[in-house]
Amino acid sequence: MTEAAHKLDLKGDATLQTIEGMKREILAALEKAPRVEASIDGVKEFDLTFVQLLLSAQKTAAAKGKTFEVVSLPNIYLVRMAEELGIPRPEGVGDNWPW
Amino acid sequence: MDALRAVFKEEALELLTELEDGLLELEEDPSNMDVVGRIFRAIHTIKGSGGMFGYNAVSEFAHDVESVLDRIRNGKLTADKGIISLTLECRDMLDTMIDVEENLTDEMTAKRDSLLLRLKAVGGQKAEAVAEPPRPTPKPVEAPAEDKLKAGSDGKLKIYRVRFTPGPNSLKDGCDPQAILKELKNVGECKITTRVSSLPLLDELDPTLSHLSWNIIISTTSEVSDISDAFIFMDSQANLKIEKIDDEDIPGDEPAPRLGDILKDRGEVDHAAMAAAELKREPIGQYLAKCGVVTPEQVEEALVEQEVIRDQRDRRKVNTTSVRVAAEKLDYLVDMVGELVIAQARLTQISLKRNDSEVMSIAEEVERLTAELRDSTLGIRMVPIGTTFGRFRRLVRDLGGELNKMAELETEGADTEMDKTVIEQLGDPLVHIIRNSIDHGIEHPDERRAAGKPESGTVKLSAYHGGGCVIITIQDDGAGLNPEKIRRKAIEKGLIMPDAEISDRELFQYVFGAGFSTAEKVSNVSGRGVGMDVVKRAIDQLRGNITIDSVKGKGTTITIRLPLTLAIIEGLLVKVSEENYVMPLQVVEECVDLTEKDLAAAHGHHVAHVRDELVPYVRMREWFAVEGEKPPIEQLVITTNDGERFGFVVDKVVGQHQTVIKNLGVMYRDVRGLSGATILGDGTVALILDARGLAQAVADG
Repeated sequence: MTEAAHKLDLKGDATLQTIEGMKREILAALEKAPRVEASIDGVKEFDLTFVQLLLSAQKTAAAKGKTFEVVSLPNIYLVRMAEELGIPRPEGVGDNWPW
Repeated sequence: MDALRAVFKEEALELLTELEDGLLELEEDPSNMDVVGRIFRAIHTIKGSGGMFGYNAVSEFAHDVESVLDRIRNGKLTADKGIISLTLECRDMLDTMIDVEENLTDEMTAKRDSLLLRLKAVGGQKAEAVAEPPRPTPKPVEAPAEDKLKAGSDGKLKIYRVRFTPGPNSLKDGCDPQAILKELKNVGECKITTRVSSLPLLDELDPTLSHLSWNIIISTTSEVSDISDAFIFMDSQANLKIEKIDDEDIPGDEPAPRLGDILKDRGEVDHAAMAAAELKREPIGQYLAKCGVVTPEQVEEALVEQEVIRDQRDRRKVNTTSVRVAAEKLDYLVDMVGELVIAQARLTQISLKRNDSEVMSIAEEVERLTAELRDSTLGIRMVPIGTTFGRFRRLVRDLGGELNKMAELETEGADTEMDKTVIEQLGDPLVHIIRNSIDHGIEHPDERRAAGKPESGTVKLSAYHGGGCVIITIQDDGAGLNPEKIRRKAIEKGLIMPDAEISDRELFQYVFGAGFSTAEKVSNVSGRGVGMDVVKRAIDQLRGNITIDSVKGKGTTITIRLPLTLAIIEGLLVKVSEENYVMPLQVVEECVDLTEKDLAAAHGHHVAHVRDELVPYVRMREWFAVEGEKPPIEQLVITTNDGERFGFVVDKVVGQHQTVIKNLGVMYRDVRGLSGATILGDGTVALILDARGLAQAVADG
């Protein structure tokens, strides 16, 4: 039986000033469970550091044989930012890219 | 730049038509990947050219549409009715954005934003709705888009490779790569790829530092300095490299550089590694990545570069095989050829008078060359009528939905060529007719079922050449016209007497009268009696004619006959006293003598007995009040129109004459029976007769 996914509800701002805290949250969640399902619906403000963090989280999970997935509905501003930056779809990330 | 923008607009409208046609085709056959490829290319070109010519909002919006089409192309999305409708709406939005030069009203902006959200919903996840999203931290206000052809630019399209790595502390220093890249998009069409390979794993990640770098391939007419201007706010530790990799001086048929050469040029492989890779049977990129000589990201970047160069060179190749010319220039050319035809006719006439064999031989040569020049010039203006069919397909689809009817458009003869001017002026009348066919002709599905017809009605639009003209028919299998109703209406309006004996075909012609509508309900589609008279007038102006055939319960067929060109006609030159007249040859059936004996046999009536048939006629001398004595034997020129024969009595038939049509001035515009004038070889003026109009005028008294 597969282990239930760890639900991670990311909230508040995800900007240069606050991103370190969010990184710790994700890191802790990834240590706890093999599969993390993160919701970003509660994120109020974000900048490029947030995109870097999500990419790194996915890369880290993959390196550890785990899964980090964003399960929120597509966020138009995040989609737009990823497109404008030419962010590639990470390996293994399916239809929900870029979240 | 205005001229370039005008070219873009013209090209974009063609592409939007192609997009619309493709989408409607895809709706019928959602698995047709050729059509998907075609519509993808259309939107891709709009996006690219839009960006190049300063239509940035158009380019961005087209990009979002392209993303959806890309998912269809990759089989991740099915082109169902909803997606097709959404994409058609987006196509209309692009049309509006280009039309208003991106100066959208609030209402338009709201509509565009709502379309964007719907696009994102289908472009991203399967979810129907899009959550109210958190917004990114506001960025510094973006500098306004500048004209891309800056002073100092040579106006040639070039491709640059831009490599940009912000310094590690750039984010803390307030450098915003997103704003820079956005600014760069104002310079030209950009293909952006991000390198994420240097991004550390979470445990080693300092998320406040910058870990990404960018590779941008930009197609633009601007110079290096314009590109570096976009990076003016980058941090001091950033690394920026701009290199030109292609320009218009390289011919379009030169193949794009090979992947290995690009990698070498980028400094990512050395000569030895390349030489080793070239000996392998594997694709170079794959082999080099497998050996760890380059990263998959580097291969991807080189592939993007290759694709952009190939794309641009392909476009250059196309540009060398066709030339876009302004319609006015073409019209001027046709006018000049018209004048040449007149001058040539004079030359021929004078050479005959002088009886000088040398001059005659030159005149003959000039005549031959003029004819060739005339045919090829008119040929340039000929375009297939199918170019307008696309908009009707959309019209039928949208009207069907609006009126809750099921209707399909079938087309035939899309390749039939006609003068561009005629086709342009034909669009609106055809729209009116098709609207009427669906609104009044095609019944609701339940009515059709009850009448034993298929639920979906058909409107068939055909075009073909026949008898020196183009015949267009619009045929529907709807309810047909009701002759009794039209008769009642015509009586009510005092157009016919209650006891008048009149054929259905003649009766149907009343539908073209101003304010004549038998529709009981006025819809916003048709039924106000405005339209069919406008249609008739438009067709008359094109020197064509329009008739209706209809069988109650079975359907209606509207037939339009139009001349191939508006510029030159083949005519029959006739004379009454010293006056010259030209009759369009296409309506002339035969010429017979009209003797005193024939006149006596008719007992004063204007009819001639020709081959056991009575042919009514008009004496041109009387009609146009020409002075002078009539000859003892006159000529009767018999014409046919929709099977009806009508004669014109003239003094003399001179012969066939090629006629360059000149418009009559305002004074003569309302004179019935004349469609223009022409200048003959000896400099005299001849009036061109509208045989049908004149016959009608005579009948009306």
